Amino acid sequence: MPTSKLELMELLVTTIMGLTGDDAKKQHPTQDRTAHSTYFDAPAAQVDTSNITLADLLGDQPNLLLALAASHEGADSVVSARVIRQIASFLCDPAVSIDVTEHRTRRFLDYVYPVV
Amino acid sequence: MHAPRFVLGISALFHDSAAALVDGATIVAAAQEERFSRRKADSAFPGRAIEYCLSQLPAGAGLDAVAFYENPRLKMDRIVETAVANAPRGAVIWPQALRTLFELDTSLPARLCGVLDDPSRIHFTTHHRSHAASAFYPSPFDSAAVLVVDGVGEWSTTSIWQGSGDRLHPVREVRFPHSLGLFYSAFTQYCGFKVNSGEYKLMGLAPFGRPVYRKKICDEIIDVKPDGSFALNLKYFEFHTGASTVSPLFGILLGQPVRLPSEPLTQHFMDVAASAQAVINDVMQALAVSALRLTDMRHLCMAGGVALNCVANTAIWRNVTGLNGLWIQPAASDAGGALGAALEVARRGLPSRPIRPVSRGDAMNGALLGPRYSYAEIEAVLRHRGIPFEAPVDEGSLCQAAAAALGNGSIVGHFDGRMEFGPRALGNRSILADPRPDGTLQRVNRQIKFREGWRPFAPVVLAEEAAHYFDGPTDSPYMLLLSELKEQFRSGPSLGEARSIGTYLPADLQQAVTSAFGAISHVDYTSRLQTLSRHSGSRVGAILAAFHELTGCPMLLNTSFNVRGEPIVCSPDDAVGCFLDTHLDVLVIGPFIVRKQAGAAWMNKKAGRRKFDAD
Repeated sequence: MPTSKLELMELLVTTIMGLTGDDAKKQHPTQDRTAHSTYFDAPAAQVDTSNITLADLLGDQPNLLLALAASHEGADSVVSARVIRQIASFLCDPAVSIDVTEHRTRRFLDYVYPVV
Repeated sequence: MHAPRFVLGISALFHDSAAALVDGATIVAAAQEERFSRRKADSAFPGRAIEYCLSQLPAGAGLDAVAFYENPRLKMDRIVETAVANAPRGAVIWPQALRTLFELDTSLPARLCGVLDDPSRIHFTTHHRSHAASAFYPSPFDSAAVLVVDGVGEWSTTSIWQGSGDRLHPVREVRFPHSLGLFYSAFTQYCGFKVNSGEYKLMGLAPFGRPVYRKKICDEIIDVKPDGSFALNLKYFEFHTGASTVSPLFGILLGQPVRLPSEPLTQHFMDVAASAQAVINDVMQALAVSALRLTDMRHLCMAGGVALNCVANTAIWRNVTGLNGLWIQPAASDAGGALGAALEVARRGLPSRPIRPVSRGDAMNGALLGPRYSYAEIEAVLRHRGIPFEAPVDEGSLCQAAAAALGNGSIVGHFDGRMEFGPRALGNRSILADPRPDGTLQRVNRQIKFREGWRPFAPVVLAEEAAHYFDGPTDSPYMLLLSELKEQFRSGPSLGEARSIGTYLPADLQQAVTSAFGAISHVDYTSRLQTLSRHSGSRVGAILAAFHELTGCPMLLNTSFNVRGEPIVCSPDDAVGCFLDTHLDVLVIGPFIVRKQAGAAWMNKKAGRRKFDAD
């Protein structure tokens, strides 16, 4: 039986709020750029890469989430790495069952762009 | 290194899933999953579109590589970072975020390996590079600035690229959560339309209004720099933290709450639509100027969902100084990302291989890249359903008969050849009508498409005649630019005059403002042209030429062959079903003609009985 929406929410609340706290705010400082002359950024390094294979994307990790966590650890983003590892662990938990069909047929309420 | 030749591009899991097959620089096939699944904007992994594309591989050829249109690791990064940055806000969308993470982490790699079981031949391009590739590589230009503007993929929401030869180089970007696509979607929701499908309605509603909220929007909701870069004031949005695109403050700022779909479209919402469109026009123009300046180019290519906004595109075409050529990918939304990813990967490995088409034309084959059905398959469907049909002796007779039916006021469904790739029907899966008689617009809106009476239709116009009837861009093969009907063809009161005599509802205003071609000119006398040469060799071009010869009118109303809330028809069975469910008079399908009037009584009784979802 699929894990309920409420249970999923609790899992993430525990993970994000338990692991981040003030560290998260340090990692995501709010920038006020209204006084700057532009909101353009230089392209991120990944954008300049033509393409990457699945093998390279995984590296020596068994799945993409752990590969992402490893890249955060390499970049000293400890908070994000911890959150991602925790998410990866409960997505692998046999007690957690994710039903993806519901949101495919009707993403939210049809009044929000599918950002996530 | 083995150079990938046959590359399958895939876009999936968010909206407009699609597949595309390329042979080096040549586009072999492309189709959206929605056409097969019959679920509009289907986001599921595009199994049937893939199956179709692989069926187009030459005998004995194998797939060399798969290209997915975005980088799932980067996308997961954005989802997690956004959740962490906003916590505890946003908890309501975390279950959805978890499902997406699960799909990207587990399901997607497994599905891709199911297509080609070799992780070293499964490639990922970034979302905006896929869009940029779809805009530049098939374009008629050897070098160009490329502007990509959409909702969001991984982090980029707006990007500027320099395209030269067989290379794309990123120049600038704006990152999530600041997004012009999401800005426009917010107004779409505010005006009571569905996000990701109702943006066309918002654009169509704008000419009814006045941009009286433009300053307020720029003062409060979006800060736009002179170079077109922008930042959203996030207190007015909830797309990153909730199950709504706008926050309650949005309605408070604009003076009225979000319109419910069942509520009337008042002047307030028309004015809001006009204001949002005015802001989009300004920003897109400034972005186009920056793209040319930063790349030192004179040609511009565009893609991303916002590039389907033909009003903004036309503002660029008209107003950007130094622009010598504009080409917009007809499948500009995420479906086109499948094509761009495939083209990007196909050019790898052989960097010296020329990838540009030699001719001046583009490499899109008129966007006719989908399935084609044989005449035997079509006949079998008609016989199976018990539909009486005529079989004219030759192609010329069929086109004459279709033109005569159109001239007599019939609304005709036309199905022939390869299905279009992208959101527009360009003749092969189209509903056609004479645009001149009074009441045609209302009839097609109400009885054929079952949609709002105020919504405009577009014409397909003989390219050789377009400049006699329209001002503005008259080379528009993909319905992505607006032209204005010349003064001498306008009649009746203008929009302002209609308002002054007490007409306020959009459908009434649409009826009041008329022209010699009332079914295809909007209330501001603009039309979203598809220009088509009489020598194009296409069936619809031949019907149009025959109609011109018969009536002197060089244009036809051309709208997609579907009904409200459903994708464009794909198969003969879809076409026959749509014909029977609506008040279409005639169906021209392959070499056959079906007429409801002459058919069995049951054919007429069936029309209008089905209920359709709102779009």
